[in-house]
Amino acid sequence: MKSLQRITFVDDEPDIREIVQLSLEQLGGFTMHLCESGPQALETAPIFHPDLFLLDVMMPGMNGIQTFRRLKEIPEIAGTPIVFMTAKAQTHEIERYHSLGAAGVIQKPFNPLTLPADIQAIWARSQCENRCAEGAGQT
Amino acid sequence: MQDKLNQLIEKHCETVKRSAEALGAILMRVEDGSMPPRAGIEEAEALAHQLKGGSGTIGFHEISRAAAALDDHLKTLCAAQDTVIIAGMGKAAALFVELAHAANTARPRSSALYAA
Repeated sequence: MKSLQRITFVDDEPDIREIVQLSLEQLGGFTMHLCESGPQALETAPIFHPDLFLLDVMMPGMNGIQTFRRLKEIPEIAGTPIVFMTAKAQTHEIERYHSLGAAGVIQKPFNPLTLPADIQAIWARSQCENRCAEGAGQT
Repeated sequence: MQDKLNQLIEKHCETVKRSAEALGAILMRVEDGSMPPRAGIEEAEALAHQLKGGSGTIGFHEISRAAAALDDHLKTLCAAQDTVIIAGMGKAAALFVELAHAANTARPRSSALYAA
């Protein structure tokens, strides 16, 4: 299984960007790419080429769902797993994110001390699902 | 890591005070009629929603709970007619007072993540 190393995080709140960076760099050991808006992510993520996106839902201008759809249109990163991070996490909202094709959902408020493990678990699951899908395609 | 976390907590302590102040100003403008009710409530709801997620993540659980209660109430008003919004402003004000108190009395040590 490919290891998770590079993460692009998109959130308009500076304090949240900072605590996620602190958690995922210092505790998780990941290389982080921080974006304050959807348009910034669309412009810079294809250059950074992350293994995974972590995407806030409620952002001014282009929201997380719109950003998600636009990221999926960029060939170089279309297959990159996207995890939503949101306080809008009622059952029907989580179902909607999954139906869009999200790899997972992290609910806000989240615990920065356990965030790296939560992200790793979602990554492992998405890798496993990809392998299963490839296996099914070969039979 | 803990030093950086403490600095972030100290900074966030000031951020929540400013956000609560901005939220209160919006609610006042809706109350005094200088802002359209629907637009004001939507703006206030977005701020309450942000406070709920942000302060909870940075360990200020009391602020997060107060913001969640206000956020839930404002969400119900977002889809309502102007007359219903005006009728619901009393409860919004009461919930805001609790949030403002939690934000204004917050100290870095109030955060569950703060370590001396």
